Amino acid sequence: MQFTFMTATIEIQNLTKRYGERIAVDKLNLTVNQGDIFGFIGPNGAGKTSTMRMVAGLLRPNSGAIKVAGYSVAKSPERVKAQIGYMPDYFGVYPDLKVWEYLDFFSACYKIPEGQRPSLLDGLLELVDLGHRKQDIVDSLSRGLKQRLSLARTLIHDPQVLILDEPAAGLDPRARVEIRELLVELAAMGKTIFFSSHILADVAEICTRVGIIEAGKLVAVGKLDELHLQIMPRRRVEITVLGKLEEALELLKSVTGVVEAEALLAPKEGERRQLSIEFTGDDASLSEALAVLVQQGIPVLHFNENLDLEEVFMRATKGLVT
Amino acid sequence: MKPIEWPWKNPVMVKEIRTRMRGNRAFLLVTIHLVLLSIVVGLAYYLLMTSMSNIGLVQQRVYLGKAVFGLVVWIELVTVSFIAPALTSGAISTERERQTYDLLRVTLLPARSLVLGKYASGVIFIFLLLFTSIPMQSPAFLIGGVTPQEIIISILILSVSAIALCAIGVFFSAFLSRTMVSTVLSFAVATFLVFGIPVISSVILLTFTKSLTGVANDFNPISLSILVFAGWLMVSLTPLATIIGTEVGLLQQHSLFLTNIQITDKVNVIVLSPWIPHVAIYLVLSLLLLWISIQRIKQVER
Repeated sequence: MQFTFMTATIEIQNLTKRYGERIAVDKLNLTVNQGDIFGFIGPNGAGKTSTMRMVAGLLRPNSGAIKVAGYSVAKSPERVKAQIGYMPDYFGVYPDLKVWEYLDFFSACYKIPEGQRPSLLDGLLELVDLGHRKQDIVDSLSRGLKQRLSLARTLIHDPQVLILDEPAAGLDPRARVEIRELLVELAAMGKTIFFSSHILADVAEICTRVGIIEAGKLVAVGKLDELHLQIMPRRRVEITVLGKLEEALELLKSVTGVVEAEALLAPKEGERRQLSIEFTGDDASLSEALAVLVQQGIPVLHFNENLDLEEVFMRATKGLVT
Repeated sequence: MKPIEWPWKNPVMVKEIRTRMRGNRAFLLVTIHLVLLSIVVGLAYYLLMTSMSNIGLVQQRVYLGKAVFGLVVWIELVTVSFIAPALTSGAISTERERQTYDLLRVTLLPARSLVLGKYASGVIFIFLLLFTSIPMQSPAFLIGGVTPQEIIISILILSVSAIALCAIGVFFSAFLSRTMVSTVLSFAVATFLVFGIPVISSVILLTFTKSLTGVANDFNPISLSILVFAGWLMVSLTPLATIIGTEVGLLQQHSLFLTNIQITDKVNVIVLSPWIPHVAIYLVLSLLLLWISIQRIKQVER
């Protein structure tokens, strides 16, 4: 029997941050495990950026403790800095620097020996697909390319943890997809990624775990399907069948756990019909619903549980602002 | 073993110099500075030459040489006073405004390297302006009347002025988040040090000299000596007065290090030539301001 131990890469305990009377982060407890792509979501002003800046050692908390890769942010800031790559929700520009100079400068700031820098920079630029813009002035890059360059900057010293504040904010759909793919690639390289986003579709697509913060408090945390089970009273499954819509609906209503079955308004092209069921059972019961349809000769083209993070988010949060 | 951090490899300094010297901005600034200086020196030389009845006389040549030399030094001092604070008053605050400050603070770059790198790039550029203008003093060498000691002392005073005024700029920019405010305050302090103190000192001197004339003998010699030392310190606080004070000492007593001040028939005070305390005060002030700036940068935002 093989055991897999999850090591905590970021441990936040009772973290509190106040700005005068306003509490931005309120006794927050959170753990991000090694290898996680952890999505940190919440309304504006919920405390995401404050939390991330405290983890990066840029903001002093009023109370609480943060450990990154086993090192205390308060006691060993230099060790923590060596372990993290931080990308804020804005892109800091040195208008006169070329792309390679920008990375070379930050390499020097991370004390990368001069002889190692050219090959490192080439590798990083290739990773973020910016090799062809090496000699361009940073300020001339589009926002999407700047974000990629910014991501390359966070990787210069080969950190274990990436803290990314809104990495896809303001990007066009293509650039968003590219950044998302990069994050998945980085996770495959063994990096732990702790990132915030308002684009819930991105979070749902790539995150292994999600934390929802509101008014400085963590209101929900876990894998997306776990959160669904915790927060959503019913699971929702979308099914596409080839004709036989009424028959499928009748059959599904008879399955244990199905509390509602209805046809979706927008019909698919040709014979395709779409329906959805609201379901309270477990995975075994859900597979039974599919089996019933198939056994009764209903051609099923698509059977998918809709893990709608937006709905989870709306239910978990109350629209509170501190 | 920890690798040695050579000062000339400071990444902030390298980046700042690289971007400052890029394009034609730096070239234009140095050129404009030299062209203006040449015009002023040329005009001064022409006017003095034409106003002098007998330029062949040694005394008149000495006067002409000293006048041209003094003018170049004065222009250099004005240049340093206006350019040095401008070069560094945005050193740290610009990083905050450009939103690059957090990016730097999250790296392994020590606060010391950030502050000293910014500071050094400013000092190096002002030194470039100062040293490229040294040939402008050549008419004074040709005419004569200027000693190597005077040249060395003037370069030293201009250099420490540049060093201190750059440190003042860095200090304000480390504490203030807006470059505009930092620049205004840096200029205010620089103007006070370079021009304000001489003006205030002159007013005090003119007001009290008359009332003290003839009554100096009634004073306690110790009180009188303290007053002289305080006045001498005022002279040493400002580069312009320091240059004049040192020159007076050199001309009257031919002493580079000590100046003898005859207060009354009985009281005679020997003080250090003003350039010595000036250099010491400005260097200590610079070190102190840089140290405070480093401590400020080390602090984590609250």
